[in-house]
Amino acid sequence: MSTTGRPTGLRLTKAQKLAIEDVAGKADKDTLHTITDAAGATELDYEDGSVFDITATGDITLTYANLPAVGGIVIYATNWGAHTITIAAGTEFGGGEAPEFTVSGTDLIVVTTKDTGTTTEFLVVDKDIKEAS
Amino acid sequence: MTIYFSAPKKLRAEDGRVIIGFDKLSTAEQQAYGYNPVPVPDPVAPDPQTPERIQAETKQAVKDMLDNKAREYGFDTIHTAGTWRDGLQPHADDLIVWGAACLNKAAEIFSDFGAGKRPMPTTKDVLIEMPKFGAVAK
Repeated sequence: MSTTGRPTGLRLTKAQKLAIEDVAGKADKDTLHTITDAAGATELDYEDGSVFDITATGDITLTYANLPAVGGIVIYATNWGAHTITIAAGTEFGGGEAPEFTVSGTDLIVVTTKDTGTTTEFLVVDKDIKEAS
Repeated sequence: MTIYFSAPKKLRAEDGRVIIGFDKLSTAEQQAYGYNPVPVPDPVAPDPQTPERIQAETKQAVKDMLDNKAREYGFDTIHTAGTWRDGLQPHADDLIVWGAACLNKAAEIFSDFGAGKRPMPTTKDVLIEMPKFGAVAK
């Protein structure tokens, strides 16, 4: 019987693990990639990571790079509603309606693709994320 | 300085990009995306209430009042009532006499205004002074 996905019980040597990390596009996806003063052209490169914390300080033109064949990225989007955000062509939205962002606060966004980024689905999971009052 | 209606908050550009917060862009930037801002029209000043204008409005209001009363008695207009004699259509004569009295009264009011005997009347003033139907002797 064949299975798909990550093999379990596989033991790798340290050298093997390092070799895998050296493969292009295999950067540690657990690393948070933070941009504290995003303005202008802002590229989210999947090779930099899959979780981005982006605080807008000006208008942003958002593009993606090196998206996987199937997968996505998570964006913590802070203060995006105070600025103009231009999103790349080929982006689809829930209900076909582009979202609005929180002016002062953080929205949680997921961008997914199943065709290497030719088409992306841009989903605001929730807005103004904060602790319960 | 031209004032424009607010631009839409979101715009899909011709190249497929989606601009969220489009209304925050400058007019020049919006135009660069092919959007034409819609100017807010200048407020239109109301026409001055000239004596001629009030007289024309009052004439129409009196005519409407006469026609409405004629309709209450089954005639299409006050003029239709004039084509009938009492006996064939009750109240035809009453309507004609009352209508003539109303028109004479309206003419008298505007004549007095023209002679400086009273201030410029409003249409409402004139209608209030119209004789009551049935109170006019044949």
